[in-house]
Amino acid sequence: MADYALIDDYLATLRKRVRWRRDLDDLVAEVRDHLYSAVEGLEGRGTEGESAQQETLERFGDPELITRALAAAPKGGLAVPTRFTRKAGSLGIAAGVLWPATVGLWWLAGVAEPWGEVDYDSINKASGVFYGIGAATLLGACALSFVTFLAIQQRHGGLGMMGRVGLVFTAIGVIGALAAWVFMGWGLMFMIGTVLLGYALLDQDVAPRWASWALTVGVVLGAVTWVVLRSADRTLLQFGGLWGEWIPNLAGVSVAAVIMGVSLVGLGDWMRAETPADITDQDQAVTV
Amino acid sequence: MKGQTLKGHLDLLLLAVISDGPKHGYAVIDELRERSGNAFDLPEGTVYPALHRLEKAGLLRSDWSVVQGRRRRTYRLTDRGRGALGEQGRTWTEFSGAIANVLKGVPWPTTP
Repeated sequence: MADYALIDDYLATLRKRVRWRRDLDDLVAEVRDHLYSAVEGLEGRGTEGESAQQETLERFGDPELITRALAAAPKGGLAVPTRFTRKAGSLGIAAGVLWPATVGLWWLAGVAEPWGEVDYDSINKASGVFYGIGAATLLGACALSFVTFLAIQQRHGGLGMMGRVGLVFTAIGVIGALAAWVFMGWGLMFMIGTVLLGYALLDQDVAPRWASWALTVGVVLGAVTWVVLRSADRTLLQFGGLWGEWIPNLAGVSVAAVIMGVSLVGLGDWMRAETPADITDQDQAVTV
Repeated sequence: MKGQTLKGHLDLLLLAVISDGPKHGYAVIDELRERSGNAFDLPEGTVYPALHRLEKAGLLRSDWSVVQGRRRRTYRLTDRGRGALGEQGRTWTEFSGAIANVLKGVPWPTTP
């Protein structure tokens, strides 16, 4: 097969712009066949290689126009990226930053210096702030999760049974935590949900893999941190212990919050980077 | 003729071109261009959403094959598509005839 660099660049750009299509591979294959056939036809009539490619691409339409035309075909919901899903991505990034930041506030309030004396009164006072901001960011994260995963469900062929179960578990865990105002009570359900969702994302290979991995392992590593620190403290209890109950709690939540925050930033950025398909300028839009 | 002018008529044109026999996207567009005498000036890529829409509506069916090492999607008319082509064709013929008569100053429909 001939090597058409301009055509291949175009196809790569188009693939990136319409990555939300469930039939992405088929679509790109169809466009490739069209463009290659057109170039071969022009070359057969005497047009030189690069000129033939340029003329072919001009006739086909620039990627933005074609993206909008392709987005106009499927209807409704989150089947295509829109300004709404882009805003959800921004919200996810904000949540991803605020979430570990709130845990940081908790640390600052409760511990004067690393592994130093724990100020329980300050922690209790900071808990109000923590839960307030934390609840807001949890809501943001929850909103992003729903938009992201429902979008993936509609666009990329679904997350599978594991992903759907994960979505339900995560939702119940978050809503339960907010309603009961006690995070730890619902933590297990939330943990299971996020692990399943992260695994489903990896399995589908639709989002940045590092963000999917972070979602999968975030709460697990947080739990492991808590277990290790608690075990160490109990082991050395006869010698007065190391840090008591609060440090393992804070450390476990912090590890989970930071890794989950990284995941949310990655997933949010992934959604925000999509080309919105909303047709806002009817003069520029071609809907035939 | 710009794409906006074609709005609403492209489906009929595509069905008509494909009614001659199975064709892949490029061949459909090539024949559309040829049969219209290059009258339709629209980005070729915008034809694909219309083809996909027609397939989703059950008026076309597509099959994949490999030609010259490339995957190729070929569209063919379904029975439903053939029926729709006949119906839409008749409507368009009546409509365009009426418009032409009005422009020529001939009353339509003519009643005895």
